[in-house]
Amino acid sequence: MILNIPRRARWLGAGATAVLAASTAQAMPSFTRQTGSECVACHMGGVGPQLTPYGIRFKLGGYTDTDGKPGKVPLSARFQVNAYNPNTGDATTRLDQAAVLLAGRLYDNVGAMASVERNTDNTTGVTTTELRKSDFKFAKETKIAGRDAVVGASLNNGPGAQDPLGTLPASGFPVVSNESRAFGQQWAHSLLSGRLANRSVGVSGFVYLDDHWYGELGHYSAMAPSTADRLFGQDPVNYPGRMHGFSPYARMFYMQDWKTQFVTAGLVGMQSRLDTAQGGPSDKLRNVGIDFSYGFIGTREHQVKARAVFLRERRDYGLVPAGALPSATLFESTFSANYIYRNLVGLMYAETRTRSNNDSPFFRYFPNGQPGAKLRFAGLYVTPWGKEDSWGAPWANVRFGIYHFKFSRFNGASSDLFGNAFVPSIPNLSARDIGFTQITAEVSF
Amino acid sequence: MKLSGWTAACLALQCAGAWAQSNIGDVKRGADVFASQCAECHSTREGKQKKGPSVFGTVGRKAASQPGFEFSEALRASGWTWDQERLAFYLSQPSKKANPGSKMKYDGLTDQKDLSDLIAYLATLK
Repeated sequence: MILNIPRRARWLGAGATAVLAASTAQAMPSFTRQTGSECVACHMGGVGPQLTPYGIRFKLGGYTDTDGKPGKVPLSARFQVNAYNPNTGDATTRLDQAAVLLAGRLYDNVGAMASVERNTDNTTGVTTTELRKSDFKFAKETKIAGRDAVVGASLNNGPGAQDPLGTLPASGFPVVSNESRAFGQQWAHSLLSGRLANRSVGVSGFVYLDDHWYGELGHYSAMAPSTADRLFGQDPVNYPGRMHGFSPYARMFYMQDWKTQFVTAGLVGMQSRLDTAQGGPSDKLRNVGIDFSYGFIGTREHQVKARAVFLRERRDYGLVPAGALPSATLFESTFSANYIYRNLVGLMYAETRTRSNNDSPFFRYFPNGQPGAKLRFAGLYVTPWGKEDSWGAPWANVRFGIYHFKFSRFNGASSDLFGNAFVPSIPNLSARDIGFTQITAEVSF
Repeated sequence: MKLSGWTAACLALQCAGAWAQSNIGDVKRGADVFASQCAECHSTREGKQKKGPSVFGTVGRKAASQPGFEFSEALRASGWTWDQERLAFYLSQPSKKANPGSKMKYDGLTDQKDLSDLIAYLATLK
């Protein structure tokens, strides 16, 4: 599915406001054409992610399930139009995203979901072509000690993009990560909540045992800024920094599927050394997280999906100027709940918080000393297609949504977010000022 | 205790009624069971194949005889006909156990009421 969510806020100068950029997730009609199953088989609500256990197994199986008929082309396209009505600033409406996706089975045991997107940054209006959340998978069913197993490998461009559950920030619904940037030196998101998304290359191997237990081990590295810019359209300011040495990624989860309802519980961890924006010794970052999800599917008349994710990032800074602290800890939490009626109408509520112990106010987190944020958002969406007998099936899917985003804290404060008290030319913006309402139409083929 | 002829006849009728009730499922409820247990992989539309074959017209059909779907060798060699007893046997246990080599991945429907309702619903699809 596609939902614009808070991803970054930038200081733009006089008259600027903090604005929020897009992130994406999809249900691809090419999967429907390949499998013969309708969108709602894999996605609660008919548009992704919100995966059902069937959808989890499809992703885990390397996107390779088919209806056995030849001649399937693993290509889809998607467009998203957004109308923004911010609490502060002008309302805008525009085509924010056009994407072509390689989505489906490439060979017997190899499949992919890779998205080349043309995105417009709703802060700057600059349009870029990027390779976004991409996952190439090999998966094969086998037996391990007499037990049913799926073994496989993934090549992907960001930790979590390959995760079958869709509960981690990289692929959950809604995708939430906050990146507060003021004067080019503030960060408020962890390795696992978007800092490396689309900017790194990961290789991992996984095992799924007895249709319950999943384990994955991998390694990530970052490309040179020029390569990342060419492939992913990342401007150097957004470059996360070169990753030094071994950057391990580990993931495990348990899933229990009762057909009418299911639960998952998982652990995730990652560690890396990143160059700092200021140069000098690299920062050491260690992430651990836990996640839970529950889904009630029933007969698909009434469905409920809830998830909770907690991440902790320990930061040991390589460059510690006089007066700055040598380390900090970032905590991120997200809770979301969805109710879906007849795979037609959905209601969602989510909230996300980022907080940190006090860091270095004038070196890293100007002016408030820590990058805390608290955001609540709620929405209503309609997915008229995506069912077996829908018009256009299996060739098209569409969703319309209206969402409201409300900040009660941002950049470590609820008022004067960016330091008007210190620099009078900076507008005095409160957390409420950067909230907004968004109306979205998204269509995929 | 000695039963009169009338009492014995009534008891037999009661027993038959109870058996019939337990084996003639609730079609509407069976549609719900199908929606939650089967619909991801099977369509009720004639000729519509998903990961599994359409279940339209299954009851009474020879196993693996539906055109347009590539069935497993194990099911083709089974010689089964999908009557209600065979469906109950197949669906009440893991499919890999009921028909080793089957393509179907299903853990089985252990609730007898759900099973009879489901089969009653499948019988209407023709």
